[in-house]
Amino acid sequence: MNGLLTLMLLMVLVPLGVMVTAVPFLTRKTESFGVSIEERHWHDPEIRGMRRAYALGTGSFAALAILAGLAASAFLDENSLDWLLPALVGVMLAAHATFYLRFHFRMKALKERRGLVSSEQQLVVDTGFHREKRAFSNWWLIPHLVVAAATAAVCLIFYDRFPEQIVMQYDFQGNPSRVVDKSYATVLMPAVIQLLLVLVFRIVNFSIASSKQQLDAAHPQKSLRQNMIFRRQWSAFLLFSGFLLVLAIALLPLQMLLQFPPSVTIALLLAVVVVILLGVLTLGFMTGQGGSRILIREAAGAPAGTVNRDDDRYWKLGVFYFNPEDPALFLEKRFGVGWTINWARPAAWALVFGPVALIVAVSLALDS
Amino acid sequence: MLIRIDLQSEEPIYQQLFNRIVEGIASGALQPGETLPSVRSLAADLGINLHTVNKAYTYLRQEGYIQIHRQKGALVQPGPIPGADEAFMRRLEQRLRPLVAEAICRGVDEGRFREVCGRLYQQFGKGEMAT
Repeated sequence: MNGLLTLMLLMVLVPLGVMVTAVPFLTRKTESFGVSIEERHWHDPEIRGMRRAYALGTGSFAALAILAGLAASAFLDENSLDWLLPALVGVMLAAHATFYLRFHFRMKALKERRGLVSSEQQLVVDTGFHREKRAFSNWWLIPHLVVAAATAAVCLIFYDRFPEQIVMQYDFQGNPSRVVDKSYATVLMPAVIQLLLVLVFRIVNFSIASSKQQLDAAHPQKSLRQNMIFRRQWSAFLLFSGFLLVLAIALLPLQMLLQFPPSVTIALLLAVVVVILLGVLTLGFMTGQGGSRILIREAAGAPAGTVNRDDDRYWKLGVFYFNPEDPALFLEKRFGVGWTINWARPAAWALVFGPVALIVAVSLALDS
Repeated sequence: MLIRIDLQSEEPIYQQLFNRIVEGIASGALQPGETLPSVRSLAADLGINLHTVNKAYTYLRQEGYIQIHRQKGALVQPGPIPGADEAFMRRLEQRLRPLVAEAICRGVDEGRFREVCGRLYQQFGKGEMAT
């Protein structure tokens, strides 16, 4: 049994397995497998049964993937992590997607068969929403930028002390597996990655602040407060975990300069990844989608029988929102915790895929 | 203030928006000078076309209920809202006329009609009983 490999597999696969299994229990109660329903149907035995069946199926596959990983780690070494981890993560995500789609179509059929579309659909918005503090200020990204600037400064000041050959990648025994000639571009690479990450955090924080209001028409006051807490907590978590990530990347040039063993760097990087994964898991369970799991004492009720707008027709496969009429760029996912984009808006595409393209471009430029 | 839009209503959405905002001003839920969401953000929150919100805001501005500034965006009329001139009273009468006619057809006498009006005034906190 390979201890390090086992540990790394478990640290990533267990939180991920729990996450994909728990998704249908964390959504708003007005959604079931990407289909909008009235909240009173959430506890319907048939719909509850579907959630259980989904969890059983996805959970079994996740458990199998973890067991397969443990078995593989008995006669593989850490170098196998390169392909083993993505393969096992892939199995989990594929199971997640397959079971989701199966129950999505079943849910759609059920809704039609039992005529669950309400005739009392309403939309509720708060006219003061835009004045509220929905996310933490982007000024909180200054510490991240300071770390990036310090990293760049250290790399430039001690440029001469870097070896003539820069190691871009180590294997897990600490042997260099990819080496390039030293240049300002390769030495400054960590700082460039840090800057790109800050850009990504900036965009995500913007999407948290600017995403659609989405109040629950049946409980507008309650869902308004839940939603505010939900946004602020995720924004804080983004800024905090982002800072950890930026710090972790600063370790790479430091390790080359100070010559401490790569295993120290790897251990620290893994610790950061685990903190982030566990944070996502904890926060996901605490808030639920849109803050729907946050306990708020209910104020005066809304007119009985009112429900949210049924916008199933804009949700392709229940997960891709495509509504050309809607100027919103970001809105809540229907199956999961977090946000997604309005695919009918090119600006949203640019914000999401722009940074990805930039990262790919930078790494290609360095490789050539 | 919470705005509630009924999607099954025959009343167009821009009209509902217009009515809800005027009601908010009448009841004091919207204070003079209070900023309103921008056209874009209100349309996004409602998931509807920009033009629909634009139309409501344009009518509100024309009637003097809101102001639209290039920088500050839309805000509730901070100064006095234009008083009821002759044209307004004429229009009010025109709009009430069919309602009174319908009420008469259904046997609602003048007393009951006034009673309803009184109750509505009270709901906005402007009833004569309250003061």
